[in-house]
Amino acid sequence: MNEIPDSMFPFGWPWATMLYLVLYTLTWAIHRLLMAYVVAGSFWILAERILHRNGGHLSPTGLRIKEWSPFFLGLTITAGVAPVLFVQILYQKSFYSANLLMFHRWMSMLPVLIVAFYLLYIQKTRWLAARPSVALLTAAGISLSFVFIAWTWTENHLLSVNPKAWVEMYASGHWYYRATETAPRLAFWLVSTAPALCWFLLWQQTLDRADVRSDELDPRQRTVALASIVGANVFLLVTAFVMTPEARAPLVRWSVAPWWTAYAVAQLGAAHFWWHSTKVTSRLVALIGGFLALDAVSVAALRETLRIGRSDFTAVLPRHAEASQVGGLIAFLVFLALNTGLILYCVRLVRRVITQPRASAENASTEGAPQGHP
Amino acid sequence: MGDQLPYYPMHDFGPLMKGLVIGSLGILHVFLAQFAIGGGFLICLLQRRAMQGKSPLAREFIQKFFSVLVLVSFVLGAVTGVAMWFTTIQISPRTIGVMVHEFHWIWAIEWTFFSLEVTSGYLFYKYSSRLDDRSALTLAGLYALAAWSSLFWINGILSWQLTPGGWLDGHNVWSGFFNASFWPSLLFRTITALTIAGLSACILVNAIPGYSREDRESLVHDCSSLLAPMAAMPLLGLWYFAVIPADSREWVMGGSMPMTMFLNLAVVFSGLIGGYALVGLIRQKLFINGATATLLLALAFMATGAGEFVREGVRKPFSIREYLYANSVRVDEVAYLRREGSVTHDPYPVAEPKGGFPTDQLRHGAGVFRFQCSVCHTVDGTNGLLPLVQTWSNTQLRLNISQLQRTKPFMPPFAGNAKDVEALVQWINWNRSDAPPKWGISQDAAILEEIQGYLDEAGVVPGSNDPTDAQVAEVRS
Repeated sequence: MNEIPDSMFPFGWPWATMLYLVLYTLTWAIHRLLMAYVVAGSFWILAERILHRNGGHLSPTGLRIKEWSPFFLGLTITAGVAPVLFVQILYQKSFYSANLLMFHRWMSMLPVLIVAFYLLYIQKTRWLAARPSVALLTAAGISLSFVFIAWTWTENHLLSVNPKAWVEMYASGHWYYRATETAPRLAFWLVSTAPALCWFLLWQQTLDRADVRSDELDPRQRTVALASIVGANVFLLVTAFVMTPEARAPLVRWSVAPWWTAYAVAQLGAAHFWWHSTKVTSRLVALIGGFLALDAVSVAALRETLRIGRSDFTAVLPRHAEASQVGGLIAFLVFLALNTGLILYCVRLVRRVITQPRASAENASTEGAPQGHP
Repeated sequence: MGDQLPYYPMHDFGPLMKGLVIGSLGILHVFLAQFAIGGGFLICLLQRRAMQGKSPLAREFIQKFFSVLVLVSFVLGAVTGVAMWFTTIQISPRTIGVMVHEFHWIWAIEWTFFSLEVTSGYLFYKYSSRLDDRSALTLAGLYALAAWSSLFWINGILSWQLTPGGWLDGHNVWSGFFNASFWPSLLFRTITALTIAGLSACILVNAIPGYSREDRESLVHDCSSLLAPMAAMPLLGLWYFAVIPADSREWVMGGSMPMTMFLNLAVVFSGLIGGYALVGLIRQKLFINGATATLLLALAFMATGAGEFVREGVRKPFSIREYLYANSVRVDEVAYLRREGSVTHDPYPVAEPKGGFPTDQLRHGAGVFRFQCSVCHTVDGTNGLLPLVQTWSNTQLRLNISQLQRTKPFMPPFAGNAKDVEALVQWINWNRSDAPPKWGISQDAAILEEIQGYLDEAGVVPGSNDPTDAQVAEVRS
């Protein structure tokens, strides 16, 4: 273990380390937000399939999730490249060692992801819409795939911060790392995806007014968002409870208070507006979106504070300094700005199409896939 | 140095050679990624022809083509890209570690282009039919630019592995990126991408129901125009082979039969596709049916596979030329490991066979095999060590392993001490004696001295570099 500077994350470390910590934290937070749409969305559809299995039809919200999930999964995977890159700079040896120790178990995440991706497309077909039982199985398959992937990442993370377990695990030949923290931690991450999904749905509702009957807030979104905010915090407490005091120690320091405060403000603020709002307005989207962003960043910061406290972080600081000497940062910043601008330009280009009323078969159909699209 | 030399919990892949696993995945990923890159250019071309009124079916075909591209490339292409990273970690964590360390900003730049590619691609796929022509062309153009740019950036890293050039002196990232094989490799891959997309489109033209023969001919002619740049491939190939290291060139010019054979296959397959495309499709405007297009695409896949095999193979014995050997030992670490032993600080125990190893020396030998050999060799499966040394006597084993870089110039120097060599020799003998429950320990000082003599004589420099007398003397001292 190492001495953590008594200052707020990411401060107190050499500038190179801070740079990589900031980049990792921010890109991871973006990845997590996009992932939330797909993961929570898969459970939303599964729930609708179970609750309405006799009718077989999804609600307009379910249709919207179904329509957009493949796109969001594509974005999630792409956004995930950056944190996977920066984690290799920050925690190379521990990340690689955990990957290697979990071996086939870790690698099996990739075919499972491919299967889930294709199931998302299959879910959009008219063929499937006409077969409620198959549709239910497909929805269950998608959700289970995402749970498996989330479980794998959670185990990998916990294994990476416990180097004392590596040699024994390797000698045993096991590909599973058992820790009491795994289940509540996994539950926290899964449940905490729902508020982000509900916000994305609000945002889509304001963009695509023609797709909704009114600007009324779907009461189910409110219920899901509020229930998941409560549920996630319960699992957070359980996770903290099952951790050893030493492992928990990095999170109970005064220097972490600003991030806990930010987290609490984000949770309470979002809950307040979910509770009191009845109409979907741009202001509401902006407010809840702001709290969601604050939540994403504060959770990411707390997660890293905890990881740093549990690993031999000071030993890898020279590697960060060496990495920062490598050229290309300026070019990265230039292309980041340029391509962010181009992405916004692309969105602007199609925005007027999105906001136009749609008379296509998309909404008139029972399950929504436009003709000719997979 | 001992503290800095990282040991990882490496696994045995059984009869599968690790290189085959990463190679197969790499070929699949490259093929899919190049399909996506060429597909962007094809869509721009068709969109332009539609806007000019030269191809009335182009708009409709673009939608169908892009649906396939999204299903194949955006899913499999994206996930196999991530899989490449994770698989490389499984096979050679040190290699990917160095690559990420040295080029993480380049990878980060590539990521910004991935983001643009996915966003513009999906928006085009979803909304192009509702956009005006100019906006649709802009989206398609941005998609094509972003897809090709991702090739531009990753090409610099991949070509650096073979021709790091000026990077070796001072580790300047741009010297490494714009290396000697960067441009021929980039142009060659760009043409390959166009070819793959053109052939894939020809298959799709034939697979879509409802088109008349004239419709198909018109679309095939449009799509096959992407194959025209193949005429430049021979020149680019020659350029590439002119700039790669001389010993790498020798492997493919007969020095290594598998390399030579795979190169010839790549040339023949590409020649067949190029000949058919240039003479038949473009000059004589022949029609191409689905079966023929599929056959040509299969040839393109095999040519890509053979080409990637050669590209990977000619780096031997390095994974990063002149810097890191394929077995993850840095060139400047060999001398240290000669003194210290290769697995002295390896904390991970080797997997015990049924009944366990009869001696610690055999356990030691298994560790040496895992550390130094297992990335390219299995025990007795693909490229198995036991079949390769089947007829060698003990003296040959000791000599040839100690002087690996002289035994075969595409092997790295042995990165261990005399005890490591003898332990490996004993482990090989034990294995080829069907792993009996009892086995003696070989600790004759004369044998170890003999091995040390072999090691000193070979020195620590790669086989491709002729060791000078001074270097040999330095090692001996």
